[in-house]
Amino acid sequence: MKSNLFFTLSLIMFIAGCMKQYPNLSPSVEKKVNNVSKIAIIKKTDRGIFQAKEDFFITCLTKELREKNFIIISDKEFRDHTFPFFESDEATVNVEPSIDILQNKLLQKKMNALGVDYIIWVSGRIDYSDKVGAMSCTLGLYGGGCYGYTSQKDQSNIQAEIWHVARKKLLSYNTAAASGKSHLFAFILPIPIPSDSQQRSCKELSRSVLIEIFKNLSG
Amino acid sequence: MIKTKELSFIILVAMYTTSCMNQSIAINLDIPSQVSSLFEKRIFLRITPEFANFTYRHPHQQSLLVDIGTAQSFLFKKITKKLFAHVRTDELSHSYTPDIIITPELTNIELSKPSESGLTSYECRLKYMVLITTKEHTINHNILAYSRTPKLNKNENQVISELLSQCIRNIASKLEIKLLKLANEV
Repeated sequence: MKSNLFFTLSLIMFIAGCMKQYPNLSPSVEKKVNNVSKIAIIKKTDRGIFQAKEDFFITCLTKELREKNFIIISDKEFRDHTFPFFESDEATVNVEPSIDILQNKLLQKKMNALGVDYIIWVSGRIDYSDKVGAMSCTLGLYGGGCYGYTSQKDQSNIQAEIWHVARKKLLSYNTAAASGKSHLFAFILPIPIPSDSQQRSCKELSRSVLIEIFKNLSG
Repeated sequence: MIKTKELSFIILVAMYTTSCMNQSIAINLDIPSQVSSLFEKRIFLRITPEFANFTYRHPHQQSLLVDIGTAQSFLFKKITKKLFAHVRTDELSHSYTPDIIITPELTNIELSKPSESGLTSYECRLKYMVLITTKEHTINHNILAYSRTPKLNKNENQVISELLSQCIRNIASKLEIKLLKLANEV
């Protein structure tokens, strides 16, 4: 009994010790950050094109930054307000505009009217590999069901390029990656357990974005 | 001998089928209309009847028709009226001497479906040649747009309509940038 308790405690300590620690932003910093920023989160269409999962990263990052009381401007809203300057152009090599576009006087007027402090370009992709296991489903006169187990590894990569609008400069280029595994058990009914790699990479990226913005404010 | 009821049913089905074929797809345009500073230039936008009434017919699927004319006329009118205070699109009269004459022409339109291209997306290409005549010079300006959209679980007509809407929005952005430059030069 005692040895079991000791083992459980050791295990909990080990797991807690292994968890990655991220720097916490102090309350004063949070307050300062909160007073400032209006952020436009835009999908970078020249990377990971047609990755439907990219929308997940944008939704997740938006949620994470909104929780820190930032005002978030969506891709559509931003592109509509800054039309015709931020239209992605797949007919040429430069799909998205370069940072030099911030020098345009008319765009500056539009940006001032919108009050954007930062532009975050988000792109991401998920790579799948190593699908293992087998599953079969049958349907007969007396009923049916699925039996088996499969799993698949995946790796989520997400990138964020932060532009500082007032300074007209590239603030940072942040990346985050996380790997995970999705499982599918089936005993009569299939039970999917999705991978959490997207969620983890998004959280990691939002932390690094917050740190960058903080650095910029205090610097 | 076919009974009257059966005959009328067959006729109804035939009428329904033929009415569903050859239906022209309309494009819902998504061009932002925020107010820009208006330039005090007089513009004549020459929209020919061919341009305004142009209907695209897909080369491999004759029943697939897209009403491009309405969308492209609207696009050129909207962008010029957004930038310039005086725009005329009807007849050019003696009392109205324009500073700039804009004549758009659609020179290429391509629409491909995944079943034709072997890709996983629908694609569109539009190319316009815009003849811009000012008092000093005449220039031919080419505007090209390309867009694609993944094969989604949507009605094909809806996918094509949205795709062309993207393509036309792209043309609108390039036209606006060009006209902004021109307005500052002339």
